[in-house]
Amino acid sequence: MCIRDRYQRRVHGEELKKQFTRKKFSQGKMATRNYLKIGRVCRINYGADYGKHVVVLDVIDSKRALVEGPNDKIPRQSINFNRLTPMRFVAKICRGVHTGILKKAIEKQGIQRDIENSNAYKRTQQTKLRAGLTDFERFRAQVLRFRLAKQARHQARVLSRGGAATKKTAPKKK
Amino acid sequence: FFFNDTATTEIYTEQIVGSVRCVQETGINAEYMGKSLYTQVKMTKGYNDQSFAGRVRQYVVTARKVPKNETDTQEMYSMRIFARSPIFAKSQFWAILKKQSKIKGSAGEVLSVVEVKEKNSRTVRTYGIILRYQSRTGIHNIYKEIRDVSLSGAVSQMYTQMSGNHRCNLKTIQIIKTHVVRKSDEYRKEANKQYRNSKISFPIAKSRRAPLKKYRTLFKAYNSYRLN
Repeated sequence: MCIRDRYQRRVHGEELKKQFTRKKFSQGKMATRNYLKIGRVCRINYGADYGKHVVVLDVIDSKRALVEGPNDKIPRQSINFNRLTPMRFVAKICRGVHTGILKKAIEKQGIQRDIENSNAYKRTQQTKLRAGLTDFERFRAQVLRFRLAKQARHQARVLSRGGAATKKTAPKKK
Repeated sequence: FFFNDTATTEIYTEQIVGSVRCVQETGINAEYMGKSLYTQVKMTKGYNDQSFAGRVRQYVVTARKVPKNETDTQEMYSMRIFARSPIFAKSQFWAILKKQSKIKGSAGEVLSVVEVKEKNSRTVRTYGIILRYQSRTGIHNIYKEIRDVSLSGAVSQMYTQMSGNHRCNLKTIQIIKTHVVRKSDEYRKEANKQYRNSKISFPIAKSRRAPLKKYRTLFKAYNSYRLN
């Protein structure tokens, strides 16, 4: 949960509970757009810096933004909007801040933590992990996967026969 | 003295005796002067050559007519040129100087070609560029406001815009003046004012494309272009 959500919950707790039972949120993510603004954390979705995260510092013109990603060692540069995927969190910074202030803001506001908790980041980490597996590790993962699937099939059979589902702890799957 | 012609770049002149190094440079930042007497242009293969890149750079070219002997004094001319590489800068320099004075490139010697690098490319600025260009029917002055992080970047954009909108290429364009537009009432184009907003907020199109060039495919799994 990002800082904004936490603040909202603290201040508007009861009202939020009503809001959050709206269809829009309970049915999962719709095609809601994250608007590009100053402080918006974005993921680079094309090029050499693919997968890295930057913060929008300024808007140059209708096609480019001035960004910087101190955590991913991306120097301050102009980047096309096509290369950016805005994420759900915004860093609270002023327009065109210095790198030092940006770094501090990212640290204070826990942006890196928000990034690491995001699904996209988790997916990229998993992809990296899978790409780095040895053949034996892949075999081991397959064995565990088959084991899980076997358990799931067993449970399904038990349930279809009218029995109660037994809670079995799943073996640790990579 | 300065040439106050409406259609020329700013030219600074100095008189020198013998050695180049004892010249007081006026008008241009002194640190750019005397960096190198002759800039060695590294000839690289093919597409690595900077002149192939669309980007235009800013140079200060200094040259004079070749002195006849040791005691001969020749006026030194310094010019700010926007060109793709030092070679083009020198060429453009002589083309302009020939119109101003009787000195030809063959009778002159280039003393230095120094690239002026942007001091601060970490903030976005709006550059106002006044230029003169030759269209198919005549010669016109134009004022352009371009937002960029550096002056050379803005000038590169300007050349692209001019070629696209007015069908004129680098050779038919002369830059008269460039300045930074600072105050909001100095802006002459409304379109650029909207970016001077700390609370700017707008959606951008989701780009659906392969993350790297090598993953591009000819055939795609989805039927049509989708914004989401």
